[in-house]
Order: sequence, then C-alpha cells, then structure tokens
Amino acid sequence: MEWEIVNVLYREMTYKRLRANPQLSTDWNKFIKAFKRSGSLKRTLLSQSILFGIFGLMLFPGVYYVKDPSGSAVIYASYCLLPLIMALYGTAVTAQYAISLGLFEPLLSLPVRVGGKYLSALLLITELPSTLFLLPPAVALSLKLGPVAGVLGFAWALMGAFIGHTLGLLIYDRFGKASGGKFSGLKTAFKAFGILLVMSLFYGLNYLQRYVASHYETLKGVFERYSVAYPFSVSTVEKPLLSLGLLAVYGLVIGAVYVLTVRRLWRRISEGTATERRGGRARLSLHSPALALALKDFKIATRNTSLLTGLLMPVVVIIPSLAGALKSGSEGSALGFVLAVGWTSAIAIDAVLKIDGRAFEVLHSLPLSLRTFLRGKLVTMTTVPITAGLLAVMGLSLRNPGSLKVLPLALFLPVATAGTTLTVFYWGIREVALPQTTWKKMLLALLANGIIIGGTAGLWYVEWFLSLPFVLLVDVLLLWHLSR
Amino acid sequence: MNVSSHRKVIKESAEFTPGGGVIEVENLVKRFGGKVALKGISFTVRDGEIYGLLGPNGSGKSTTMRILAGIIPPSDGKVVVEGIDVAENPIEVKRIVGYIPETPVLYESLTPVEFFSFVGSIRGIPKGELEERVERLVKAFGIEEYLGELIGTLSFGTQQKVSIIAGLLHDPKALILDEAINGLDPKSARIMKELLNGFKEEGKSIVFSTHILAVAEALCDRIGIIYNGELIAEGTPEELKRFAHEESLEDVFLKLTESQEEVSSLVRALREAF
Repeated sequence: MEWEIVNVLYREMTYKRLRANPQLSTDWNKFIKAFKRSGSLKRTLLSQSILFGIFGLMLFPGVYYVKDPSGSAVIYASYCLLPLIMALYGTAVTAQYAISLGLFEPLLSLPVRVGGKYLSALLLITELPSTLFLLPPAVALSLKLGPVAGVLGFAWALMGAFIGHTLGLLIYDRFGKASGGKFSGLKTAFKAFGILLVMSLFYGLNYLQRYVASHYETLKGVFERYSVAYPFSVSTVEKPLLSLGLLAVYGLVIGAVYVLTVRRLWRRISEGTATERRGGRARLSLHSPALALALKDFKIATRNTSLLTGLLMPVVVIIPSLAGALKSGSEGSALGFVLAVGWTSAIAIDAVLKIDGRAFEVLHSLPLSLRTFLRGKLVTMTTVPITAGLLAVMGLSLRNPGSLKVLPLALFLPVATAGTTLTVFYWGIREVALPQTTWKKMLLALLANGIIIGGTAGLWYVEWFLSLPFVLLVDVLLLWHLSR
Repeated sequence: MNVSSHRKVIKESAEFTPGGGVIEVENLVKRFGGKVALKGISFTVRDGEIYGLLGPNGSGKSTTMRILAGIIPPSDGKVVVEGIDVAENPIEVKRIVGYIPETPVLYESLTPVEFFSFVGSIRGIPKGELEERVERLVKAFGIEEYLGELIGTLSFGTQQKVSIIAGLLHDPKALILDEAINGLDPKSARIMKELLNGFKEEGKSIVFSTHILAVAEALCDRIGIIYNGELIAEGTPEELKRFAHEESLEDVFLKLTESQEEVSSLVRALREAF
C-alpha cells in the first residue's frame, strides 16, 4: 500500500514534469512515449542504478590500487562526501518542486497522519540509485580490507545519503518558501552557486581523487583525529566494532531528527507553497519587446532551480577549457576557451525554450512576431556565456595581456552560434511556436556552428585579426535575418 | 424538436438594431486532425454589442473564441475583426483584441506587476497610460496587496483577476471573454459586469461565453447557442425564450441542446441512488 502511494506520487511527478516540457506537451505521441519510458518507478530505479553503478567503476581503481590498505579506507571515506552532498541538494531542491506541483493535494483530504513520510520516501527512493555510485569502490574496499570492511563501507555511504536527505528535509522545512522575499537576490546567488557546485562535482571528483591519492599519508592523521565526524568516520571500517558502534549512534541521532522533521513537514505541505512577500510594491517598468522577453526569462529562471541549471550549464561545460587556458596562459589557449564558449552557447537552446512552459499560451495571445520572439530568446541564450566569457578573458589577460585579442570574439561569437542554432531550429516556422527538435535540425545546427567555430579558428591562425570580421559578418547576417 | 428550424426563425426575427459589423464570422470551420470542431458557423458582432456564446462543454465555444483572438487559425471560412482578416494578419488582430481565457494562463513565477510590465512592453503601451490603467483596474478588482507576490502563490480567483487586468491593459477595441467571470467573487463579478457595460457604451464589441445563464441573460444583447460545432440558435434572450416556448434561458438552453430529458433522467437516477 505504502509503495503504491509512492509509486502514484512518482508517476504524477513525472507526468507533471513532462507536461511542463513544451517540447513534449505539444506532441501527444512523443509525450506518451516519454511518459511510458520514465513513468515507471521500478524501471527508472533499475536503469539509474545500472548507470550509477557503471559510473562508479571509475572510482574503483582509486581505492584498489593504493599500496597501503589504510590508504584505501581514507580514499573511500573521502568519496563518501558525495552521497551526502547529492542527497542534501537533491532533497532540498526536489522537495520544493514536488510540493509546488501539488502532488500531495489529493492526500490532504484523506485521513493521513504523517504524510511527510511519503514525500521523504519519494525523494529517498529516487536518490538511492546515486548511492550505488559507491558500490564499485566498496567492492574494492572489501578486496583490500575484507568483506566486513566493504559492507560497512557501503553502509556508511547509505548513511551519508540518509544524513544528506535528513538535512535536505530540514533545510526545506526551515527555508523552503517560494522564491522571492527580502533576501531573494542573495538566495538566487546561493542557489546558482549550489547548482554550479553540484554540476562541477565531476571535475571536483577527479581533482579529489588525485589529491587524496597523493596526500593520503598526511590526510590519514586528520581522518584518525576526527574519526567521530562524517565522512572521516568512514575510515573506521578497518575497526569493525568501532565502525558499527558509530554507525548505530549516527542512525539513532539522525533517525530522531528525521522523524521529527518528517512530522513537521506535513504541516508545511498542508499549508501549501508558502506565500512570501517580495517586499514592497515593485514598479512597472517598460522595455523593448525583445528585452522584455529576455528579462522575463531571467526572472523566471532565477526563481526555478532546474531552469537556472540549464542556463548556467554553459559555464560548467567551459570550466575545463578555462582551467587549461589558466594553466597555459597562451593566447592560443585563450582562443580555445572562447571557441568553447561559442560551442556551449548553442546548447542553452533547450533551457531557453523550456522557460515559458505552460505559459507559452500567453505569448500566443500577444501581438508578438516570431522575429521579436527570436531576438528575445537570443538575448536570453547569450547573456550567460557572454558574461562568463568576457569576465574569464579579462581574468586571463592578467596573466597574459595578449589574451585581450580574443575579447571581441568572446562578445560576438556566442551571438553567432546561438543565433545560428535558433535560425536552424526555426527554419520554416512563421509564427511564435515551439520547434520540433529533430535529429536533422540538431545535426544541421551542429554543422553550421562547426563551420563558424572552424572558420573563426582557421582565420585566427592565418592572421588573428581576420577572425573578428568573419564572426561580425555572421552576426550582421543573423541580426538582419531576425529584423526583417 | 427541430432545432435548425428554430435557429432560422430566430435569426430572421432578430430584434437587435444592427450597427457596423466589428466582428464578422462567416462559415467558420476548424478541424483538429480528423475531428471537426466547428462546422461552418456564421455570426456578426456589432459596435457596442455584447454577444453571448453559449453551449455545452466541448461544443466549440473556446475554439471559436481562440480563433477570434487570433490565437489559432481557422481551417476554413472567414473571420474579420475591425476589418482585419484573422487568418491573414493575426498579430494585428491581437493588437486590438483583448482575450481573457477560461483558465488563467500566466507566468506563475512572476509577480502581477512584473507580468503587467511584460504585457505592457510587448504591446508597446506608453508608461503613463500603463500606470494609470494598472492603478485603476488593480483598485477596481482589489488586488493591491497581491501585486508583489508570485502569481503561482495566488488563489484561482486572484489569478483570474490578474488575467482580466492583463487582457484590458491596452484598452482593446474588441473583447473576447471565454468564461472569464468564472472563479470571481460576487463583488468582482459585479465589477466585471459593470466594466463590460461601460465598454459597451464606449462602442466596444464583446464576445462573451459563460455557463452562468442568468449572467448571460442580464448582460448579453444577443446570444448564439453552439451545439456540436454548429450555431443552432441565435437571437436576443427574449426572442430565444419566445420561440422555444420556455420561460427561462436555462430551459431554452437545455431544450435546444437536447439535454432536458437527459438531465431529468439523471436527476431521477441520482435521487434513487442516495
């Protein structure tokens, strides 16, 4: 029965999430296909578990190939920070999302005493597969320190996820009001930072793996000194009794906090999404239609974590090339970074088209031409990559002033690539609408952007100043096309 | 009863004094794939007229409204609003028409003020005019205290008021209201009715659909009844009652949509069940 309720809640959450995706909601067949694929909780859990399990294989060598067995425990313990962070962030963000969807409304009129447990179960179940990420390194641990250590190690990973989940619920219960309010700017900045942090986890993981592997002898002392605190406590797997005792204490304390939080949570769910005043009466402000569209997009995105994630994605993708450019300091690497910015500007199209969601109908009722709509979306697509690119190039110029040569490209290249992507996707469409993202269009956009990026790079190496007129020509042609 | 013959008689005996046709619908057809939602309906809405469109759920009212507002194109036939062909120039039609949908479709993560600013920007309303209209309408509908809150956190009724205000911001020449009074509290519904009467006096044309037949009877100059995608009757409320030999508009509606018998038998069955 309990499983059935969670299953229904999951299906409903998936249904609403897919319905809110304009690319699916406008195509019923596509929608039904997507819903059948991801609406089954068992199927999703299985596929995600396999995926995370495979992903976790990359952590296996880090634990297995350490000569000192104690080193394996230390390295494994450092990985155990991941389930905590992932569960904490996932819970805090998804709890707000699930409640805002009104998933629990039908339960409110039923004689349910602690409905918060369903929210918790829904989130925990969907987060558990990510913990399987630590299964391969736990296997490595058991091969190095024996099966008991391996089992205890994985139990600690589950405990980490549970701690993160409980803290996430606590955070939601305490701060999870609707966006806005007195410190909304600060909250948005914090949220954006959190998203970048989580999305950069992959890079962080690589760095962590290398750092712990080369410094584990120093870190071992720290882990022993603070062995009571998670994740240092994970390194006690070498002493099973101590480790088991600590696990029990953690289970009792966190379990008690969990029970109390879940009880409080139902009250919040019953009250609905909290209404928070944004403080004072905002003034009416008028802009050109394209700018008004872009400003509207940014306001919506900064109040919706998943949309903000999509908009910030280009920043995360360019991190490795920025790191490379910082390390080398050469003009060539600065160019490589700007080209990467150009590439990634195009990928924001998905997030940008999702922003309007169900409210896309509003645009249909307004006297808005497709050209104006596309100009607005172009501003939305390019603002983040241009800002990130300009700031990064200016930062790079501190190391090598010659990097400033690529500064104009950081400004104009994202316009060219994002504009090209929009033009390809909207080719043949005459009215404000959502385009079908077909493979043909995606390949065409990829090809067109490849020519722009390749042309820019090629001309740079012929004579660096030739690349700018080329990009400007593309920009002018696109803007002319969008202004007709 | 033969509803088609009724329609013919009623149309020929229309009591309303004709003015200039502001909204002209001629043989309008709308197909959704293989389904024909509108089967060639025709009617005219004149200057300063409130035209009520009644019909059961799924009869084609909302489809008609959305075509009139330039939101969806007709499959066949002609719709002209203030001399502009909807199929040829939907954007120009949207400039002069105010459309208020049945269920408010709004950006839930914006505040009402942000939403009004957005609509005002897209419509190119001068700032002074926008401020004056927002202030007047916000005060009339009593939503001053919600202006700084996210739309998604507002009640359905307050969201409906935001939707109505947004639809009136550009002082439209014609209004399309698709069951827009539903969800309003009595005070706001009254204000809305007064507003509509005011617009009518200013010479604006209004197409209005509702399920509240008393409202339709009190407000509309003429009423068209749509059933299964066809306009089966049209006339002033008095004409409709006279020709259907019924005393209330509700009975006229049920009779013409062939629902009278069905409603009676369903009520009997329900009473027996409880």
